[in-house]
Amino acid sequence: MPVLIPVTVTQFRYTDGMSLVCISTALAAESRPFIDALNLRHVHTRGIRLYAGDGFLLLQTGLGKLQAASAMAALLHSRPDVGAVLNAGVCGSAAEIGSVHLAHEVVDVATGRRWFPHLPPQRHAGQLPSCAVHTCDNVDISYRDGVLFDMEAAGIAMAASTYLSSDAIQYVKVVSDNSSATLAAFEPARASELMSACLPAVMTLCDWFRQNHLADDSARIIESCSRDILGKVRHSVSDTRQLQRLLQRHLSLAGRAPDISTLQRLGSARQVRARLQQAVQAITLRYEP
Amino acid sequence: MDTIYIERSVLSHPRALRICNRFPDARHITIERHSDLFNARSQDFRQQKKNPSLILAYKAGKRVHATPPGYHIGGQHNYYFSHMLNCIYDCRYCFLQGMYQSANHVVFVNSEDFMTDIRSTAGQHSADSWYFSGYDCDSLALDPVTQFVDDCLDHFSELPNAWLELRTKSTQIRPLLKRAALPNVVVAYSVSPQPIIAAEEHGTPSLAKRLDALGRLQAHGWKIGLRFDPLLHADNFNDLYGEMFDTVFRQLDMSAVHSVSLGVFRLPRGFHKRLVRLYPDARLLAAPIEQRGAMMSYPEATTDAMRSFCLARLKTAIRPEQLFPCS
Ligand code: SF4
Repeated sequence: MPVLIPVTVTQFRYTDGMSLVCISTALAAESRPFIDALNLRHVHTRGIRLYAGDGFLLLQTGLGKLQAASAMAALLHSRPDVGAVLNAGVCGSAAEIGSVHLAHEVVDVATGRRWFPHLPPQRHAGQLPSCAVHTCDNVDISYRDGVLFDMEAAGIAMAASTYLSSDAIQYVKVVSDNSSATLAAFEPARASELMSACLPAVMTLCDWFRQNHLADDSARIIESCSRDILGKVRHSVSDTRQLQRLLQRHLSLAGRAPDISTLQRLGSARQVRARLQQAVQAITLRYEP
Repeated sequence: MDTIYIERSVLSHPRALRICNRFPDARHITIERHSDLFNARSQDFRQQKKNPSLILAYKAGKRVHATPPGYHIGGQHNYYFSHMLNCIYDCRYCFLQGMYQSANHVVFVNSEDFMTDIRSTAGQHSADSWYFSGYDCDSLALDPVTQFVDDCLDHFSELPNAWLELRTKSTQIRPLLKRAALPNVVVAYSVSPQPIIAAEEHGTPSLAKRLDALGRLQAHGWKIGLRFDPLLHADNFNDLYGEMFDTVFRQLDMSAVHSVSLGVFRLPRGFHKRLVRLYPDARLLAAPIEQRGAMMSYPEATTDAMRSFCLARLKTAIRPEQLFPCS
C-alpha cells in the first residue's frame, strides 16, 4: 500500500470575479481532509450540507447518486458563481488500495448513460492514471480491471452538466477496497486517511481550472457598465441582452467602454441602443502590420 | 497529443495502431462510439481548443457527399469528404466552431473505405467529377499523423476522371514534393493579408510561408489554387488586400494558377450566434454584420465594395476562366 503523505495546502487567495470551485464528497469522513486543509467553515444552507472557504465550497451530498444529484442541482441553481465541480471520493477497484485516479468516463450502470469529462493535460494532472467510473445503486464488489465503482459520480455528472461544461466537472477517486481487501465495514478514520491522498490531485486540478478560466476583464467591464446604465434607464430582459452585446462590441472594437454618463441621461432603452449603435458604427476597424 | 480515444472497433486497425504508437505517452482510452464523446452536450469548444484530444474512429454510413450549391471550381459533379473532423488551427471565423460541440480532432482511420466510395461515385459519371477534401478540416495540417494524403494520391493516380482538391493553410507538403505531380489534383491555399493572419488565423503559417509552399509546389509541377476566402472587412481593406495581391502576383506564376476563388465572410445564422457566444470579445464578430436570408454577412454595400476591389485587382493578373467567385 502506498504511504500516505500529509499534505500542506498553500493558501489560495480568492479574488473578486473569480469563479468558485466546489468539491463534492458523499460522507463526512471523506470531507474532513478538505475541510481541515482548506480551512472551510460550515455554512447554514437549507437542504444541503455546505462548507465554504477562500475560493472553495465543499458540498457533502450524502450517499448514492440521487442524493448527490439533488444536492448538486440545488447548489448550482442557487450559486451561479460556481465555475467548476470536483467530485472526490473512495471507490472499489481491482487497482491498488490508496491509488488515486481521474475519471475519463462516468457511467450510470442503472441507465447506461455516460459522460466524458474533458481531461486536463497530463502535466496539469500530476500524471494520474485515468479510469472509467461506474456508478452503481448498490455496493458492487466485482472489482474489474480498469473500472472504478462508486455510488455518486453519475449523480454529480447528471446535475452538474446542466450548468457546467465537461472540462469543468472532474472526478478524483481513491481506491478503498479491492478483491484482496474487500469492503467489510466502513471505517471513517480509514476513509479520511485515504482521502488525504486525493488532496494534491484536487488542488492541481483547481489550479488548472483557474488558469483556464482567468477572470475575464472585458466581462467585468461590461457587467459594471450595464449595471450603471440599468440603474438609470429601464431595460427589459431582451433590452439588457442587446445592450450588453453592444457594449461588448464597443469594447472589442475601440478597446474601451463608451461614455456611460451620456447614455445614462437618455430616456429609454431604445434611445440608449440607437446611440450605442451609432457609436459602434463610427469606430474604425483596422488590421495593422 | 495528450489524450487519444480509440473506438473499440478500430483498436487493431493498422492506422490506429500506427498513430497510437506515435504517441506512447498519451492516455489511450477505449470508447464504443466516437459520437458518444464528440456530439455530447455540455462541451466548451473554446476550452477544449486549448488541449484537444484525438479520437480515432471508424466512419460508417455515407462518406462522400454532394457539395452545397456554389461550392465548385467549374466542375459539374462536386463532392466533399471528411476523413477528419476539426482542425489544429484556430481561425476566429472558422465555421467548424459553430458546427461542432467539440474541438477534439476526429480521424477516421478507414481511409480505404473513403477511397472505395470515391471510386464508385466517380464511376457513376461519364464526365469528370470533383472531390473536395478540407471541408471539415485542413487537408494537410495533421498529415504527419494521419498520412492520409499519400494513400489518397495513390488512388487518385488511378482515377483520371476524378479530380481532387486539397484545401489547406499548412506547409506540410513533404508527401507532395516526394512524388510526381498528378494532373488531376489541385492543391489550394487559403490566402489572407498577413495582419489578418496574425490577428484572426491563430496558429497558421504566415503568408510568406504559404507563398513559399505554393511556389515549391508549382515548381514541382502540381496544379495550385488560391482561395481568397473569407475576405474580412476592415477600414483599411484596400491597403491590406492591395498589398497582399501585389505580394502574391510577384511571387507566383499567376498564368499557371489552376483556379482562384473569392468569397466574403459569411456564416449560417445559427453558427454565427454560437461563435458570438464562444468569443464575445472577437473583433471580427464585433464589426457590423447583418442577416441576409439564412446567412450573416457584412452589409451589402460593404460586401460589394470588397468584391469589386478584389475582382478588379485579380483581373489584372489572371484570365476570366481561372476565376470562381463564391456566391
Ligand atoms: S484552417 Fe480552416 S478548418 Fe482550420 S481553423 Fe482555419 S478555417 Fe477552420
